Amino acid sequence: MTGSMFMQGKASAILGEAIVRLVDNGRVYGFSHPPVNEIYEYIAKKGIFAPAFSIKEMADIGLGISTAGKRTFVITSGTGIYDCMEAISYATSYEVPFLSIHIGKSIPGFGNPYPYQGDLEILKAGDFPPIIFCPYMVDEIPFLLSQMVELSERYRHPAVFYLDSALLNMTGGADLNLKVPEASWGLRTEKRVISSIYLEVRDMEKRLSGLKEKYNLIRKEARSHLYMMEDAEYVVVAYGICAYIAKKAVDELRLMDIKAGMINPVILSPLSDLNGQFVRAKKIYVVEMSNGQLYRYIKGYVEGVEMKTYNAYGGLIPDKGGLIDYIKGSL
Amino acid sequence: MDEKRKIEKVYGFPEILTEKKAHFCPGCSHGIMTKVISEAIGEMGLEDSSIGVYGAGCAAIMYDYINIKGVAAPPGGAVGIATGIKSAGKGSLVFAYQGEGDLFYGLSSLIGAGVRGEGITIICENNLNMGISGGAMSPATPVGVMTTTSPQGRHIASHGAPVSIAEILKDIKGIKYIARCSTHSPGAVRKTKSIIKKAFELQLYGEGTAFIEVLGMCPTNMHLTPVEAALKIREVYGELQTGEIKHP
Repeated sequence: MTGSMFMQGKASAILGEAIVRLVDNGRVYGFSHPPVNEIYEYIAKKGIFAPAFSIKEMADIGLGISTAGKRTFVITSGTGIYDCMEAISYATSYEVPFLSIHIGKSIPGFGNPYPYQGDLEILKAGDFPPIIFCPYMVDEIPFLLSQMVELSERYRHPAVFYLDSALLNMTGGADLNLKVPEASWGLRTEKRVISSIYLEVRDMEKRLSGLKEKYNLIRKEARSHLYMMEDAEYVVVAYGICAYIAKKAVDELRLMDIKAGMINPVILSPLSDLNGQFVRAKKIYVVEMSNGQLYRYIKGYVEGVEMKTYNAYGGLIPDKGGLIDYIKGSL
Repeated sequence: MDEKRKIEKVYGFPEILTEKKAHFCPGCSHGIMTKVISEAIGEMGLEDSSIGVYGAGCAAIMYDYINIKGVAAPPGGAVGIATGIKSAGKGSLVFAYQGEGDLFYGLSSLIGAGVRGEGITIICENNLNMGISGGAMSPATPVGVMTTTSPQGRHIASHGAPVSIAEILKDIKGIKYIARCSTHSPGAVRKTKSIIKKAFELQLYGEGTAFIEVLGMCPTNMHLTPVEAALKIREVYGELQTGEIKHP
């Protein structure tokens, strides 16, 4: 569905409308549970929701729809994504797109429905992890989602739209005129067999080489949002709601004549090459809602610059005032 | 007066059955089912519109033998994948082919598809063990039968009683057709084929979900000769309700 529509409201509704407009299968199978129930409620009001009986079933049906050459989404939160990891792995091997929307809530276990970014290391694990998109504000959700769809379909590789439950509950406004180029894959093409079985090791090796080549191309698509990085000496790295807060902190630090800047990975995996971004940096501050997952990730790109972590967890969100004080106190 | 001899082909190699050498063990019923499904699709003229989704297990690469579009599903995922494919293309004939161990792995998908009345055909080849695991106990392994994970034989106190799959599904309203058949004899195979054709027909007429349990032999893991394995299946088959258990 295309056509211009500006929508004001909660992120869950904006995301729901974006899904309705992007799906071409006519049905989204889902397993409703907090905090993703609001997305399903929106989709149900539009008449395209069908209940799945488990997250595994939802993931398998999503994989089936994609295998048949149509577009749908699977929506999870918290540990629910673990039940989709198998389908993500199969989609990687089948070379079909597989579109997940994952809401980060406080884990391990059930935890609570409040925001957390504790899934990063699981999502980006493996040789060919899914492409991970992370919006940092409500307004960019539909646009980034359509970009994710385009990349996933172009490369026939799974992708995850990863946002925390704080962002899901925020309000904003967004244009929902979403255009994704036509693409075909799976059984809609001339392909007769979709399989991930390669019993001959040389065949499997060849297969993996092909995936490796493709993944190197996907790496070139990686991008980050750079904010006031031209002369930044104190660099904040953050994604999701943390980037939203960090950006405001950077604004205030600049007013105090502190040369602060921010790197916000729009695509969290594969990560864009950040090496060149830290040339003028005196200190790097990683702001996140997990126990150092982003810190460990970014550390691989940093040499000779002091890194500090400012994090919150358990459902708490980093505080802007606290972050400003922390940066000022460590200069 | 010259009488022209009329020659009519009454039996032959199914056109969609490939000539690739099958990897199945001697006496395995997956080989029989490969031929039965090929014949059913061929006789119904559905070669171009059929899609087979093969569950994880010994028959996962059945797409190598049946020349229709095919998908090798994740463990327990064949019904879910078949549901997705059918949802994406209503005009296709979509069937899932799984062993009973794999079917139980994805039981929520089977029940989900049944409750929603998804228009797919589910064929479960129940050979009383999990063959790809080297003959491990499956939910349907009969009491007393030795497997790699019940070396002293299945014992109710330790392993629970075997499950009758078809009966579990009887009360699910969206599953319109349930049948139990077998491959232990030529007559049983012919009956199985007619049941599969009926289930395919029902799918074409939009009659909800169809479930067919086919009892089959696994001589290798049963440690029996093919003939002994067939006799064993006949024995198990004789203790169960057979034929059409539920129909629209």
